Amino acid sequence: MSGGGGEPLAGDTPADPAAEPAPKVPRLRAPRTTAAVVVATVLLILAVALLYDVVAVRAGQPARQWRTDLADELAARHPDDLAVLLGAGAATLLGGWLLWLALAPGLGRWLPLRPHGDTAAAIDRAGVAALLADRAAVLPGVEHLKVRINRRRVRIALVGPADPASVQRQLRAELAAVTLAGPLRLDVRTAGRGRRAGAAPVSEEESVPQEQPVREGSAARGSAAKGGAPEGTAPEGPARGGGGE
Amino acid sequence: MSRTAVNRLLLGVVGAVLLVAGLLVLLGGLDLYRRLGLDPPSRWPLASPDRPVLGVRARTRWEDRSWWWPVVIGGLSLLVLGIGWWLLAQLRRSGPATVLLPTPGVSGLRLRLRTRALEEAVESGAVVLPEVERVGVRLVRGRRHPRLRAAVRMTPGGDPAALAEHFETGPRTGARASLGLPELPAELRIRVVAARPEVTGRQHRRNKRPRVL
Repeated sequence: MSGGGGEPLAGDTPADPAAEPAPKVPRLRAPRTTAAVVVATVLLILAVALLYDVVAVRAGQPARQWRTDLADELAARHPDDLAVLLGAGAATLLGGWLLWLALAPGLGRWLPLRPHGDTAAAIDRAGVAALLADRAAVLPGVEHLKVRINRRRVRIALVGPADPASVQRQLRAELAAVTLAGPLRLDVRTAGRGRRAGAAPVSEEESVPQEQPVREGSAARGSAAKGGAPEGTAPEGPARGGGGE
Repeated sequence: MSRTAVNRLLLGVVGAVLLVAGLLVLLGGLDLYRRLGLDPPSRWPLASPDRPVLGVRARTRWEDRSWWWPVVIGGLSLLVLGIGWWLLAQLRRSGPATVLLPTPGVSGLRLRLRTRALEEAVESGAVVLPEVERVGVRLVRGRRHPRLRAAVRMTPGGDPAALAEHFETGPRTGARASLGLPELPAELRIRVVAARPEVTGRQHRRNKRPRVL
């Protein structure tokens, strides 16, 4: 990163955002305490019962009923027995789930931030959603909005005459200020009423005064390139760019 | 090895054993070896649906050997001890009770600080930071050094990056410097208090939520 500082300015600016997340921040890993307590308790009960019975039989006592029953059942039933198959299916599912718990990182609701010195900070997903919602709610032309967030993307559906591209631009600045370590996509679209009619005029008089057509065009381009998939932005992008010219 | 690593390793072992055993029974019981044209080796367990799951001969194969029962009882005892240790490790407090402070220039003195005192000092330093509503600090075991784990509730509209920077330069650096510790890494978990709970995520199932008057 420091080597890039000597490069010409034109090559430097696009390289910077790509170079900044380079120190890979690891995801948080859940300690899996609850699962360990449950599994250890069950195993401990089974092992103690078996050990107790084995020692008792060695000491001359008769075996417990449950152990002779179990041995008889295992000796009598074949693997194609329905009960055996059900038990094997349950064991397979349980084993797969425990393996998943062992391997998956967990703590998916915490999004790590870029490190500050020796402090590794993480923000909770609903917190990012709250920050974006609070920011968007005071923007002009936003009457109501819903924020949905997962680990990879934020989807914002807003109701009102606001221009989704300009809302997206404002929210992207807000999201950049959070300094998340990983990328988080941001899709803004209009939902419900007020979708076509009021959009253009309000955004034109309310947005930043100068360079209006340029920012409008670039924002529409950005939203079309960024959120190509959602139904809302894709048709609107070209239409808006044509209106601005 | 940290508790997280132990838990994940043992959960993985138990899960793998269950998965393999279940799959072996399923493969044999549904006769998938023959249907798929596979030919398991001759000693392969549960290869055919015609034989019992665990026959009397298989169960009592080594019963008359002199080593069998000592091995069974010893193995089960080790298993019980190990699982008991695993269970106790979950119930134990996850951090050290005291922190050993370096005493440069003084020999024969071991200076220990109660963990709770350190936690309270960092808490009182963090709660006065801007945009902080509530702080809880714990000291947990780290790989080489103990680490601070701070849970912070930030006021609505706050700046998480600035908060992390303030925490780093303020309470964390202050605690590390005043105790003379070589390292005191910290984890900061930030939650945000929602200003308008009706517009923040999670409640996206219905457009109109019922109003209770």
